[in-house]
Amino acid sequence: MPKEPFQPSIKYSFYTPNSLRRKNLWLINLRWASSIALSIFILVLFLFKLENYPYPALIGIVVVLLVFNSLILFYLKKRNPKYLRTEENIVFAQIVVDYILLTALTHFTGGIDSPLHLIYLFYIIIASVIFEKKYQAFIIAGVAVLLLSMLVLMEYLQILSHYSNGVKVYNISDIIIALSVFYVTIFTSTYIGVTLMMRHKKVKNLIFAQKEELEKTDKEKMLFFRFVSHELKSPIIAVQSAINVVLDVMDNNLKPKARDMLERGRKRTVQMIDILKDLVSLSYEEKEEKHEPELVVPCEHIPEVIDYYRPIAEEKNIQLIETICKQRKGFQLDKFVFENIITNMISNAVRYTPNGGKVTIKTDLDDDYWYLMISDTGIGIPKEEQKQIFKEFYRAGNAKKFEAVGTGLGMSIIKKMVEQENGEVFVESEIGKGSTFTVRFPLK
Amino acid sequence: MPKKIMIIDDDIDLVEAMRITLETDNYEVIDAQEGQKGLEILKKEKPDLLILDVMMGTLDEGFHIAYQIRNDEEIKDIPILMITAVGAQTGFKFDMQRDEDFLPVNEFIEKPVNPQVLLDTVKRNLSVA
Repeated sequence: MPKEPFQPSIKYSFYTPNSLRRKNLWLINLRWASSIALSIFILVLFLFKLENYPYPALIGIVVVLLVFNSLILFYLKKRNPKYLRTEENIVFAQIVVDYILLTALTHFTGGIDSPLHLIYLFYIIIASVIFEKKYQAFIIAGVAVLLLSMLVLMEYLQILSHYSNGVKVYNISDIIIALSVFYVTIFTSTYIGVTLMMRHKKVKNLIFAQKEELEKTDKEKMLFFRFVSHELKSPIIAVQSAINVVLDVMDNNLKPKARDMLERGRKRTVQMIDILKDLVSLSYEEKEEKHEPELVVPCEHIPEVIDYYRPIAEEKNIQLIETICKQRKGFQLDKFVFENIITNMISNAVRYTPNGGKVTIKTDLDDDYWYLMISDTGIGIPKEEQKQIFKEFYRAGNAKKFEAVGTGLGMSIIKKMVEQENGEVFVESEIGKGSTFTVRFPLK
Repeated sequence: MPKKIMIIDDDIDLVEAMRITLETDNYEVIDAQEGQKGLEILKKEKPDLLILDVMMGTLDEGFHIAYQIRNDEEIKDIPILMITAVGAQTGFKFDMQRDEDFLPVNEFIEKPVNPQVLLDTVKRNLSVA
């Protein structure tokens, strides 16, 4: 059956009073920049005496631009964005005022002959980016057309004087051609701009909806993990407790064979409980387990964990080597998570190192990071699988052969915990020689 | 006279395992499978120590029971050992241990309880009380 195309269930609004406010402020910044550009432009014209422009009028426009900008900024600073309509109207007012000033500027630099009337197009782009509805950008286009047409008409009818650069003749056919080109250009640009933006907004909406959907599914998966592990835990704990009582408490004469079978059973329940523990810690939301960070002195915690693992390592005849911990200063971290990280890393290293091997625990420090490096002489991780081992439930092929039982959750839990504390974890490994896992935490 | 220990846990098999373990050290064991009922028996019997499961009807019923005990003049001095589920409540437990005022129990033991650990912990808490 063909899969139905993904339909977002929720409409995402990127068009809010706040988002419009940001655009309003952006327009203000743009206006500061254009005032400076315009002043430089006027100065250059003046210094080189390029044309005989009406300088006082040009300077007047700059002044009006600056005053308007300050007023609108003052107004916005006093009011918090509250209504969509209000913010929309402010955007609209800003563009219209700019258009009027632009029309004046066009007038003083030659009317339809002035290249400045190209700047009308900028606002078409701005309007199609900012506004939500198509017609809004077309209104802006209409305003541009109206203003320029009126200007040209008034100049033609000599209601306004025509500032022409020496050219005195103001030809009707030239005017019609220039205006037609302007109309076509401006409406085509509006159409293209609006259409592209609509498509862009649709895609953006879809991406956000899908992201939300994925996060929801992931959360549900974790809740399911948690539920399942809780449900499985009680019976397996009861089983182990019953076996414990028979083996350790009851004064009985079990046949060696029977004792051996019960021991095997107990071992398997221990493994199962380990798997469930992993599942539970993986399924916990970061927020739920978050504790206040406190001063953690790594050199105090690491030896404790090593001591705990020493007997387990000795059983496998593995040497646990701890290089002298130099870092006496601590840093802010969730202590509980930190201890968990070291415990999990050392336990993993011991687990995948054959009898008679070595596990070395090293720490280091540079200006920005504190490092913990745990190297083993274990089985190593194939190159192509090194990235995968951080994924949930992934177990490298050789790991499966070496240790039949494992959850494939160890490394993904470590990674999750390390990242929760803004750290990073890396692996370097060579098959048959061993692996080095490095965890680093930023000092600040 | 043997010391009297009460177990409140809704898992009858766990109760049995703990009972057998404790009886080998000559404790007298009484039990209840449900919090409020356990509280009534506790008041009547006044055991020397209580073993209390956290998760029964709700995720933290055990804690509510512990609070009620600590707020009841008659029984507030009975030492409480709280049994927590594997891994599940680690965060919770950690916070509780950190804040002494908020800690209505004497000690936590994680499930599955090793018989020797159970006996040692019980002995230790009885001698303190």
